[in-house]
Amino acid sequence: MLRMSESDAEDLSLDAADSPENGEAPSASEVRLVHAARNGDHDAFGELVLRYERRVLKVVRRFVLDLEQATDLVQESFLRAFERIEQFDPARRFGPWLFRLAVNLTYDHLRKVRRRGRWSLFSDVGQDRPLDPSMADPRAELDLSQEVQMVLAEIPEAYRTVLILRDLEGFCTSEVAAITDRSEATIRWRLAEARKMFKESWERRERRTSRGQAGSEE
Amino acid sequence: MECSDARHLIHLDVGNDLRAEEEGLLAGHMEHCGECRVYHTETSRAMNALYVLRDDPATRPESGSTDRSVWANVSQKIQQRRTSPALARRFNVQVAALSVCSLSLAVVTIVQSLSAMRGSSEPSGYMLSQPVSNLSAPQFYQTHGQGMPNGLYRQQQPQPIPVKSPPQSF
Ligand SMILES: [Zn+2]
Repeated sequence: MLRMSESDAEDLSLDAADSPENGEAPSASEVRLVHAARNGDHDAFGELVLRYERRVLKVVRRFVLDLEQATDLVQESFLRAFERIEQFDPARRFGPWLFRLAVNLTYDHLRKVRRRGRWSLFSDVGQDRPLDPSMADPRAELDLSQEVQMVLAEIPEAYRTVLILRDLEGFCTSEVAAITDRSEATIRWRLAEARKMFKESWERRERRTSRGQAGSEE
Repeated sequence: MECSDARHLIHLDVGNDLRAEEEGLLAGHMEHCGECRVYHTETSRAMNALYVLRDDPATRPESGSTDRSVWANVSQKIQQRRTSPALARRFNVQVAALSVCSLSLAVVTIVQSLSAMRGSSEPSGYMLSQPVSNLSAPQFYQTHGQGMPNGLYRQQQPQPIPVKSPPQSF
């Protein structure tokens, strides 16, 4: 049997997340910047911010669409990174560590929003995405992407995160493992399950849509 | 290899996440399993739908962005945190005093209601010429020229509990 459960995967490579093969070795310039930032060099940390901010913002916006909130979360992620840079192991790459801080902060933010919604008298039931005026006719594309977004939202958080980081953001499985603080075996297992969940949900949605269309034609 | 194992590998294959040895195993299975070949095609199709979000304009960082770096704000906040001294902790006497007062009030209220409950457990239903609390039950019935109802007050007298002595063995 090739197939195993998530806990099997975790047991087989408990220390995989800590192994150096999690992502490539950090570049020389990054090592220099991190070293300087750890010694209190404000400008060196600024250089790291400029290097990573766009990518961090893109990842955060996969979970929090609102630009203002996402930007606040990016700022908070860098602040936290600066405060905890002493805890960062300079032998590793800075990126996954930074993304982990950002993803965790984003989760905390989403949990807070959910809790607030549960206790408030009224809650938002969905947010229409604003159309981007720079696109010629983006409506068709947005409709499809909204459909995909809805299917994606049905997938449990732990699996959705892996799917987003690997399939939408293009991180390799070892990087996803480092960002989510799981072993690579666990990430591969979750990735396979997440893709299966997405396929099943997507096909269910397609069947519903085609049934609806057939019904309206009759 | 069983189809369920092949499907697990298919989910990884559609995103180019198979290892070399797994690729060989999957190819060997797919060669003779038509169902898994169909499953592979369907999975790839679903993944293509997901990839629409890769270039989703709504999640593009520049979407709606003024393209200003966050560094100015981050730097400012770092400076603020460096210059502002850590918040010192102060003992709030008012809060402590208020808590003690509330606690005492609660204790007094509980004690009073307990004694009131004890008083109200005396028999009622008669028009009283003096407060019940000043009279014991026999006094109460004497005052009102009535004999004590059978089984009313007596019930409150402690009854001796028969104690079974253990059988004595000789
Ligand atoms: Zn098969």
